[in-house]
Amino acid sequence: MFSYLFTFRSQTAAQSGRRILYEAGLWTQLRRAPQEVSSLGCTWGVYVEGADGVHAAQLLRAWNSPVSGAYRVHPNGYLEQAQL
Amino acid sequence: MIYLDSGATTLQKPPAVALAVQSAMRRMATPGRGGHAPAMRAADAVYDCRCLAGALFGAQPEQVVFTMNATHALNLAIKTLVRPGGRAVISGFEHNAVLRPLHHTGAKIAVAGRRLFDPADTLAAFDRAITPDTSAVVCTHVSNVFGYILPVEEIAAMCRVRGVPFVLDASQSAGLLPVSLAELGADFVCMPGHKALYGPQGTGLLLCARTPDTLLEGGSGSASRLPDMPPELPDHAEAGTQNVCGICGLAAGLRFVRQQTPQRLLAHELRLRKLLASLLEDIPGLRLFTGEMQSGTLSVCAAQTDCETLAARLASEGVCVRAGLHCAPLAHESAGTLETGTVRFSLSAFNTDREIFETAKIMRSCLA
Repeated sequence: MFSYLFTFRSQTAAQSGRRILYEAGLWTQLRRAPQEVSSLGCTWGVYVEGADGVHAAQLLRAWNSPVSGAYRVHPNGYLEQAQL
Repeated sequence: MIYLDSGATTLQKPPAVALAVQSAMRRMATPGRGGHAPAMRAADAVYDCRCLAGALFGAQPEQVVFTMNATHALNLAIKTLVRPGGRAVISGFEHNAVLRPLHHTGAKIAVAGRRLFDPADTLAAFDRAITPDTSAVVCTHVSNVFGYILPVEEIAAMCRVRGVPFVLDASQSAGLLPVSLAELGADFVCMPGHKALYGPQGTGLLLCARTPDTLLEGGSGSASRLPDMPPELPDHAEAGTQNVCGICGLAAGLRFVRQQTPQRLLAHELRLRKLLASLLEDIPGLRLFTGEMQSGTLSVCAAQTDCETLAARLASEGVCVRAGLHCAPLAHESAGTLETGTVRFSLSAFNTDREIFETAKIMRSCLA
C-alpha cells in the first residue's frame, strides 16, 4: 500500500496544510521529509493515504497551500515524484 | 496586596497559564528542530497559539510572528518601513517603544494630535500630517498613560486611501478592544503577550500583512542550506529557539480572553475605572484625567504630593501602581504633565469592586 507525501519548506506551512486536510476529514501525518526530497534542508512533509492523494492535492491547491513537492511513497520507502 | 499596574504587566493570570508553562517545560522541546515526540508536541502547541492569535486578531497562522514583547515587534515593523531620512507620522501619545526606534533610524517625526480624549482633533491632525512622502504612520490604539482610545480605524482607513503603510501599537488594547489585521488593512500590528492577553512576560506578537526585514538571523528549522533567512513567514522573522514555555502560557491566556470575550473584559475594567474615578473625584487637589474615549486606565496628579512619593505611600499600604512618565514622555508632554508625571491605576479582569473601594480609602489617607 503506497501513500503520498506533500512537502513544505516551513513547518508552519506544513501544519496549515495538514489542518486543511484534517478539516476535510483526511487522515494525515506530519513528519520531517526524507533528506532526498529536501533540497534546501529541513523540509517538512504531510503524508496522506494513497486513496486520498488526488483529493488532498486538490484541497491544497484550492487553499493556495505552499506545497514544494508531491511524491508517491512506496511501501519499501522508494519515492517518486507525483503529478496530482 | 491590590495590584493596579496591569498596564505594565498583568500579575494575576488565569491558573491555566502557569500550568501550561510548567507543562511545556517538562514535556516540550523546540519546534522545527526534530521529528521526535517532544519536538512535535512543541510544534503542535506553538501552531495552536498561532491559530488562537490569528482567529482573535484577523490573521492567518503564518502571519503571526512570535516576539519577545511589543517593543521587539514594533522594532521589526518600524525598521522595515522607515528608513534613515524617511518620515513617520505618530500620535502625541506614543510610548518610547515607538519613539526610540524611530529616533534611532534618524527619521523625521511628525507628531499628530496632542489633545487628550479628543478623537476629532486627532483625526484632523493626522489628516494634515499624512503627506505623500510619509514612510509610515505608527499609532498607539490606547495611551498607556491616560487610557485615551485613539480613532485608529479611521486613521488606518486614511492610510489605506493614501497608500501609506500603517502600524498599530496594540499594547494596551489587545484582548480588550477589537483589533484585526485584516479589517484595519494595517501593514503590521504589534502587541505584548503579557498584558491583557494574560500570557507570561517575554511574549509578544507581530501580525504581518507583509514580510518584515529581519532584526536577527539564525536557525529557523527550515531551508537550512540557504545562507539567508527563508523568505516564508513566520520563519523569516523567527530566528533561533522560540520561547515555547512562554508561547504555551500565552495560548492559555488567549483561550481565557476568547472565553471571557474582549467586550466583557473591557466592560469590567471600564466599570471599575469609573467607580475609582467617582470615589477619588472629590479629593482636594487631585486632578483626574478622564474623558469619553477612555479605557480602564486612570491617571491622576496630586497638587501637593510628588507622584513617586504618592506611589511609594500606596505601595507601603499594599497598593501597586505606577508613577512617573511611564516610558511615554511624549504623552505627558501632550497632556502637560511632563514635569509632574502622574500616578497610573491600570486594571485587569482580576480586580474587584472591593479592591477599588479599598484603594480609594488608602488614597484618601495617603493624601490627607
